[in-house]
Amino acid sequence: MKANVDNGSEKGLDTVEVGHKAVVSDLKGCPAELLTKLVSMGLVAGSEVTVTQRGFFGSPINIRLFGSVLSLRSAEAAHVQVQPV
Amino acid sequence: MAVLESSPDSCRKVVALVGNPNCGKTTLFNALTGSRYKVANYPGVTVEKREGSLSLFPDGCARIFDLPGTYALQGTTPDEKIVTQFVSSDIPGCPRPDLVVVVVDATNLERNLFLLSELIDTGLPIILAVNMMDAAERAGIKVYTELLSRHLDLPVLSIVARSKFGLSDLVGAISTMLLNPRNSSQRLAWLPAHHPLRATVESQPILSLVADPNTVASLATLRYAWIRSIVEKSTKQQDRSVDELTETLDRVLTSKVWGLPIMFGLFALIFQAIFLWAQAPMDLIGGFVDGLSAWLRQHLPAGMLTSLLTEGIVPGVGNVIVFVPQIAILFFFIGILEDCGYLSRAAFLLDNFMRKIGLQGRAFIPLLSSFACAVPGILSTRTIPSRADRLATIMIAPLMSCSARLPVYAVLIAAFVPNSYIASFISLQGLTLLGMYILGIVGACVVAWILKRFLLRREPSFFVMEMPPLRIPLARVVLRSTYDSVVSFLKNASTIILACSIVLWFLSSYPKPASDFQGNAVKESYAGQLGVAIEPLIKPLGFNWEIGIGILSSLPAREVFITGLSTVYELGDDDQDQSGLVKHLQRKREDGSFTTLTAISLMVFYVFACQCMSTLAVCKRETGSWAWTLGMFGYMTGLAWLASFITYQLGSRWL
Repeated sequence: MKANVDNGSEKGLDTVEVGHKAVVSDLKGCPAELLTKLVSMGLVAGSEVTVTQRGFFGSPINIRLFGSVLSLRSAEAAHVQVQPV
Repeated sequence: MAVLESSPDSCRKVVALVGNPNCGKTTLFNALTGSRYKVANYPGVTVEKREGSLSLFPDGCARIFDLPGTYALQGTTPDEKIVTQFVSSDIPGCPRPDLVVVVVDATNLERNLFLLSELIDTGLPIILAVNMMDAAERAGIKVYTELLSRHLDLPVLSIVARSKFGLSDLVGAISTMLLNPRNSSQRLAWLPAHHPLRATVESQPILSLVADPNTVASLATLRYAWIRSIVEKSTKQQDRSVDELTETLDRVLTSKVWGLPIMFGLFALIFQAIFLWAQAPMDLIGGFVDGLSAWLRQHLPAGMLTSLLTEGIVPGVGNVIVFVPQIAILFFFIGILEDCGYLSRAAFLLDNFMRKIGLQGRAFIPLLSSFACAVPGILSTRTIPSRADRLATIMIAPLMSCSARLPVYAVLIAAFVPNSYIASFISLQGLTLLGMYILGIVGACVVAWILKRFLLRREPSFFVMEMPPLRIPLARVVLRSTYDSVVSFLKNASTIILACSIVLWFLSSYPKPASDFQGNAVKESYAGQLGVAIEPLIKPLGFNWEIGIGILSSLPAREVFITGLSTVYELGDDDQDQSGLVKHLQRKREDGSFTTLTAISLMVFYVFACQCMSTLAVCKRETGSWAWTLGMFGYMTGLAWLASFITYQLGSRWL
């Protein structure tokens, strides 16, 4: 997956505000174990996610993806590049 | 293909149940086999594969395995690896499955079909069971199983495992498939024929994906694209509807303002209940044990066997069974929180703090269980994905004050802490007890921080967890898990603790002193000699040889300390129970031979010391390493000595 570097609207999933939707475009700089986990749970290019909740200091962040809710740290969410919808 | 025989020993066919965590796999397993096992609304409660027997149609039987929930075959937790090894027949002594029944959640088909797609690639015969069709209908999702079946080229059945809908059709399909196994033609259908990685993936469908991250991501994207096209062709849904109730509750339960107060309130209530509600049944059991001892003494002829029974076995095991009510209540509440899905919310709330000490939110569940007993606590670390986090959690789990420490705290507090109140409502005794729990938690935080800072610093750590929908807990599930915990505690009591009681009785009764012997007979016994031998080592902690025997005797299990001390003090027939020991200790406090400072130092010792054989055994099993196991014993004993030393030395200077 090549990143769309010059696309200004692309940003990390950790920066998406609660209640907003985004579409995953790429996964960047993930350690292999984490990446395997994220993609198997459906965080692949083209998947639509909605941020539903954030903890203190913005982490962890909960996202709705397909029919379920995933919880991940903002540091991990930062690896997920998204396009806002 | 031979016809399946009907006698149970000839169940040779092997069926594996596979699916995502929380897809209702274990509920289906229970419904199919009639055995009732634990199912919980928390990702990854099935910690080991369970086996049952499945009656086939029209006759015959098969061995059916319930495997842990997993999202993919490249899983990294011990739980997930079991599934991969099982379907690729990589476990010695485990047969290759003849059929895999993949259970999927109809409300979340896309993600659930990822695992199915990987399983199709293994070339095993597969049946797809689409579960929770009722919930899907409520959510406005219509799944056309015959279309799914056509596109995936395998039998697809719709079921509702909780209400046992569609199970006979499923058994019929399993029976047919076992007689005439066939593979789906959709193997690798997601991978374009001209794709550069086609040859690699074809040769090793499971292992091919570990290579480099970019490949992993691009292959997963292709697989999901294929899944999406199939889901689009075989389902119809109005707006992707949302579990409104769960979302609303979540806004409160995990909110920045209310989340933590609600959580601490809940746990304060639970601990309150453990002590309040357990009192009456505990008194009842205690009275029964004392009565039994007295009755046996009266009705059996005096002699060695009677002495072994009335002074060794009955009080030894009895002193431990007394704690069943507390354990039952704690596990009852953990069961409720687990089944309704709240534990995942607690993990969410605590992740920030856990990360600061080098752990992660998920470590919270093992640590909570460890307040009852470290053994189930350590077992539940299997769902933590990162090895470093898992090891650190295992190492600190025994620092949570477990129910076996309660008897030690309870006796010492009753004997040495005045039953008075601060500001007329805070019990000084209760406060002391709380202090011991907090001391253990603080110690655990420090140890975890040091471990992650120095020993496990290079290993990756991450937190990714599914939040299951909140639901009303099922009484049958909660009661079952409470019952399981009590049974395993009693099994422990009847084996390790029984053995300890016998050994302890022997060591403190022999060699028999001469009949004209005037001094302390126990001091001359083998146990006494051991106690005297270690006295120099524990003197700086404020302990004498009598306490030394208590500590040594409780090396295999903490609660044996009470029995040990009772034996040493040669309590008379009427004083063998706990209240007798408390009275005796109070007399010793008054004559100054056992000070309050010694009692506090002793409690501090028990907060940290690793006096538990079962914990060490399960640590060895889960870490697979003697170094970590001995490390656990070593650091805990060292910490206990040091903490007691500081307590006693500072205390004797200041008080």
